[in-house]
This record gives sequence, C-alpha cells and structure tokens, in this order.
Amino acid sequence: MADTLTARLLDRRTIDKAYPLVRNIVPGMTAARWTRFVRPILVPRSPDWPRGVMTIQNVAGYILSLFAFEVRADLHESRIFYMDHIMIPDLPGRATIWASTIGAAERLAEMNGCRAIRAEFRGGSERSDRDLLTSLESSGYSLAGVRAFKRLEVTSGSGSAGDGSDGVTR
Amino acid sequence: MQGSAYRDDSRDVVSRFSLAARAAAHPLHLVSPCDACRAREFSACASLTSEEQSRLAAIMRTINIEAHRPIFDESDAAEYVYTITGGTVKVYKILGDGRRQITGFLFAGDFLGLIHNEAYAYSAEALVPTTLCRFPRRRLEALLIEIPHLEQRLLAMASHELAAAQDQMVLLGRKSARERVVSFILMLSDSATRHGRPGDPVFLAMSRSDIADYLGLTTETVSRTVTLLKKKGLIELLDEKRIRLSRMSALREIAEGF
Repeated sequence: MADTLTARLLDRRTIDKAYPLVRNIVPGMTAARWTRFVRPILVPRSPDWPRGVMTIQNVAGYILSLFAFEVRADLHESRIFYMDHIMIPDLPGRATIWASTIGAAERLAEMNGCRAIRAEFRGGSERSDRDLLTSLESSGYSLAGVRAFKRLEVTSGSGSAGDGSDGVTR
Repeated sequence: MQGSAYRDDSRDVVSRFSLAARAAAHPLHLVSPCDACRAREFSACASLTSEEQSRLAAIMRTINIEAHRPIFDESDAAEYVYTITGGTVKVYKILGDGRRQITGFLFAGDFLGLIHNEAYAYSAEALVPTTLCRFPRRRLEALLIEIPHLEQRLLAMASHELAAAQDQMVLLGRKSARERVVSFILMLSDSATRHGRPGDPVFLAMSRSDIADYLGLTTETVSRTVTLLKKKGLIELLDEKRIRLSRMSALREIAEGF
C-alpha cells in the first residue's frame, strides 16, 4: 500500500500547490503568508545542516501531507532531526498517510546521520493531534521533554506581527 | 445545513423501474443500487469485489440533490462522506471578509467530504440535479480497516476537494486570462475523458460567474476571452453550455503559455 504514496521535497514551484492543504489545517491562512513562511525554509542553512519541507503525494501527484524539517546540532544526540508543522488532513485512510509521513521523516533522518528524531506538534485536543500521537507511539516514539508556550501580547506597530496579508485566502 | 434538498432514491420511479427490470431479467442476480451505477468504474468502488461492494452498499444511501441546492456547508458537523454518481458539484470556502471563493468543480466518480476538526472543510452545492452515495463516516472508516484496497483506492483519489483546490492553485499560477480560461476548458475536457464521458464538446455545468470566481477573473473577462477564442476559430460555441474544441493542439499550446 505504501507504494501508492511518494515522499517528495517541496520546492519553489510547488509552494502554491501545497497551499490548499495548509489552508485546510490552518483555516484563515493566506497564500501570501504561507509563501512568506515557507520560502526561507526551502533554502538550507548549509549543505551539512539541511532543512526543508517534505510532502507525501499520491499517484496523481496531489499533496496529502507535509512537514517542515531541520537537522540541528544537539548536545546530547550530536545531530538531531527536528520535524514540525506536520500537516495531515482528516481523510479516510489517513492511517496510511501517517505511516508514510513518519517513514519519510525517519529515512531523511537516517540519510542525514541523525541519531534521534524530535517531532513537535501543537498538542491540542484536536483529533489530528491525537491521531498523530497514537501513530508516533505505535512507531516507537515516546513523549520526551517539555515545551512551554506563552502567547505574547503584541502591540500595534511592532513590525513582525503583521502577516502582510493580501486579504485573499487563495 | 440549511435548505438541504435531497430526496431518497427509493422514491425515484425510474430508478426503481430499472432495478425491477434487471431483477426480472436476471432472477438469480442480486440487485443493488451499485449494479446500475455508471460512475462505479471511475469511483473508489472500482476495485471492489461484488461481496465488498455489497458491504459498502449496506452502509450507503443514495440521495438526489436538486440543482443549486447545498449538499453541506463548511463547518457543518461532518457525519458523512459522499461519492458523486451523477451531476456536477461546486465546492467553495467563505473567506474572512465574507466573500465566496470557488475552489473546485467535482463530477461523477469524485469523492467528497474533506474534514477539519470534525467539520466539513468546504461547502458543496449541486450545480445541476446531482446524485450521490452517502456514507456514514465512522462506519466507512471501520470498513476501510477490513477492506484495505478500498483504503488504497481512496488514497489514490485523495479527497477531490483537496485535489481540485490544488489544480486551481496550479491554474492560478498561469499569467494571462487567456491561459487560465483555456486551461480550465481543457481541464474539464480531460476530466470528462477520465470519467468516461466525451471530452469534446466540453459541457459547462457552471455559470460564467462561477468560472470567473474559480479563475480569479471577472465575468466580463471570461466572456470576452471565450468570444476571442471563438473568433480565432479555436473553439466553437454549440450553445450556452457546450464548447467544441476546434483546434486542440493550438489550445494546448496556449495552456502551456506558448
């Protein structure tokens, strides 16, 4: 079944194509904001420390899931594969998409000499998060470490807060 | 969902007659609504054995939606998923400022019901009288565990709402109005062929205004572009809803930006 899905790196030409999936997971996301977010990620910091966005596509080339990744230095693990912005839509048969997504991450991590993988997701009560956790646990992952989060009040005119939205959600 | 206008197929006299006729002609043949389904070959059901087909049919209900009536609205609780067996559906999102953005058109054989947080991700409306198979989502998911190649087939098809929206993004990446309109017409032609219908003439179930919305153009630009294509002999307007593709290779070149 896995051969029906293929892992492919997102590139500049496919940024737009990934947008409907992103909008599905993050309602209200504009195309402009998605493009501004993802463009820099597609450029590696250096050949030794790759980063990018991996997509899982079906036989027709439609993007069914994606995640951002980065190989980072880690004091404990030397090189660690970090994945976040994991986006998998709620489709019938999504268990296979989860498996392909995790499999693609692990292959990339091995190819880049990483000794561990850290997967981050929002951790809310959404069904997609629960599904992701279940899939990760069944693939040998366990909860490790704690990440704290606080949303800061942003005063107007503080620059980076604006998304520069073009007001068009397409 | 407000104003939903579906009717159960058991009240469809024609459908009942044809099934009754089949049963009379083949008394030993089990008759299910799937037997007469013209979309089956192109839908998720194509790979199923007759036994699997029957199990799927057991949880399915056929519904008919009148033209221009909603099937479901974005953010409705997503209890069902659908396969279109006849007709045309437009899917759209309501933007933050209240405007509507059509993100795709779906046809017989297409699968419908993309979800986010237990609610539909898009709104869906029938453009013409449309027939759908409606499956309770939870029961379908349980069945997918038992019928792995149905899951495989569904993955290959993806959600057509998502696929249509990805097609739209590719289409909007084209620069000129002419490229967009020609690409759209060819997309309809290719889709019809893929679904076992004639790709020429192209049938336009949607209004010029819907096309304009989908292509990010004004209605006037769409109409002007169609008229120009006709004047250049690239297409022929058979009537308001049917376009003959007179010079296919030239149209393909325009779509590719040459």
